[in-house]
Amino acid sequence: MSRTTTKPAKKKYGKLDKKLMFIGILFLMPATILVAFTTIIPVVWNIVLSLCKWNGNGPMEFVGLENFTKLFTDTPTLKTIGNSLFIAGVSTIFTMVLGILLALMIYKTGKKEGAFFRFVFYNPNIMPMTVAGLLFVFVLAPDEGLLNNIFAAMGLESLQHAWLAEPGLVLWTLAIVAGWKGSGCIMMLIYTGVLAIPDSLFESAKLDGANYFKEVRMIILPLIKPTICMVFSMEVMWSFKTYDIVWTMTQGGPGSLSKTAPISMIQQAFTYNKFGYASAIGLVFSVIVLICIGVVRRMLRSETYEY
Amino acid sequence: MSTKVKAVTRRKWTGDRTLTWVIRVILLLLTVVYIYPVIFAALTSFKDLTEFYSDIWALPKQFLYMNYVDAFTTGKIGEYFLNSVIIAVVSLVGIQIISVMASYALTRLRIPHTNIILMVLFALQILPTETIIIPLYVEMSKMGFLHLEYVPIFLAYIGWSIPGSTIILKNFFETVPKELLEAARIDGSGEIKSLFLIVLPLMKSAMCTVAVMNLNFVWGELMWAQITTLLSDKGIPLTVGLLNFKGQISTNWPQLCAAICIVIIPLYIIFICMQKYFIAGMTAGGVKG
Repeated sequence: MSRTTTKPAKKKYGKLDKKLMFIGILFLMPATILVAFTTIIPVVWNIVLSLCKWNGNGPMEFVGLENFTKLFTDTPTLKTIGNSLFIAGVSTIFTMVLGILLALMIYKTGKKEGAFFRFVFYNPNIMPMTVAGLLFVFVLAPDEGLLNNIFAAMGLESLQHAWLAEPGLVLWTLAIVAGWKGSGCIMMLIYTGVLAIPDSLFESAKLDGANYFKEVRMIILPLIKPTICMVFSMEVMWSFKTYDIVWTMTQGGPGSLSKTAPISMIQQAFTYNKFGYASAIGLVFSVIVLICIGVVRRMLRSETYEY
Repeated sequence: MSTKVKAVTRRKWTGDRTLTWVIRVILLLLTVVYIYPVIFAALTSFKDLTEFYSDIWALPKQFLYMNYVDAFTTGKIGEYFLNSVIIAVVSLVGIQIISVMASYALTRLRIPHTNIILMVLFALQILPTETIIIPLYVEMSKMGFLHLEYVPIFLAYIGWSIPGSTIILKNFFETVPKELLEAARIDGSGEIKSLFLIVLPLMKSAMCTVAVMNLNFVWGELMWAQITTLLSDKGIPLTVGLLNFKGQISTNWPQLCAAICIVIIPLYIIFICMQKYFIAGMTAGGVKG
């Protein structure tokens, strides 16, 4: 950012500057109040709540770190955090690989077809997660679902599964549906990145006799690396939003096998009235998410090529 | 020399062409994966239950719109839809006005410590909602907002979207030449007047981009909408309503498909009309949490 450019403005406040500043602060007021009300106060209060025992009604009791010690010995809840991480990890990898491949393939097909394919692959992204989830509840239904019927029609009954009810399968299914939905967005972003590469580079590569695989490896991928990095860190952030998809598709079931951290947090708060404990879960989960985002951003900070 | 070049280019050209065809085939196969579920749902929505169970592959025999009527009346999808529209419109207008004002102040009015403010905004938008919603719920219930229809939902949406929108709009504001505003100031135009008459007309595309980005979030949000409507059956938005409907009908798939179609079709129309802003919104809103 332009950290140095603001310095000259600081030297002296003239009369006009003071007036402008006053108006500016007035203009910032509504935003400040709303952000404070909906984000800053809750975040601070969340920390306070996580140190207390409170049933949502009646007096709060300060218990120090008890909620956290309880959380770190509470295997079912830790498992839900693990599930969140699993879904986030698998769906991130799936989305990224699929998105990049789609973008590279669409780039190869040319402009007009490309527009059609881009619309098709972007379409899951238009619908809300809830709708996509319900759609897949239908597609993956054991008896009347589309997928199992396709397998039946092809004579592959052995591949039929109760996709959302089998313990070993449910998390994978959820992650892949989430990835399916996200891939269109990644594809679009990568595609715009590829389009920004000047044609002259490809022409010279063609003259040198490079085929498309070589072009991808030697030109496209190195040049869109910054785009990939940006998209990747965004995707990591999005992929932790596992509430919608899981709640829509399995509600955490079978049993609590696919329960993710946000679901267990909300259940602790609104089903068992343990607001303090729920806040602790939310806090720990958020810290983990922020660490993941930070690690990914740091890992991806690398050199870029000028072109 | 010339013949050699020709030969080389021709061989390469054919190799490249087969590759293009292979890619085309793969893409067409994937197209089926991406679009068939939607088409299948659309076809199913026109069947009745017995017709569906007798042969799930068959095309609908007649144009049965009963499912849509049912979804609208017994499923109350129409009501939920209206609620969602109200929430979306109020949120989008609120977000737009407030973040335009904030970003204008941050770029063009001499606010001290702009960089610190921006860094805070940046940090706020990465914050996962999980750490916010429980205290926010408590806060809203203490202040009595939870009894009001729509209010808790759009207040939160506006508040959460302000940081991201402000950052994006600020980047756009910086492209508006300073001289334009100074000239207006010298001519005696007030700040609000110059904001509305000079800057905003230049920012149409930026505003659309932000609006589309936020619409995407507001329309699809589930967790907060679900919590705030736990205790009432009024003002329920579409996402929550759709799940309620699914709960009522359990495995009446044709009806569910009709409901899904009612939700999806307007979104497709909006997307096709505003395609260019969708893409811009994704790139610009890259960092939005």
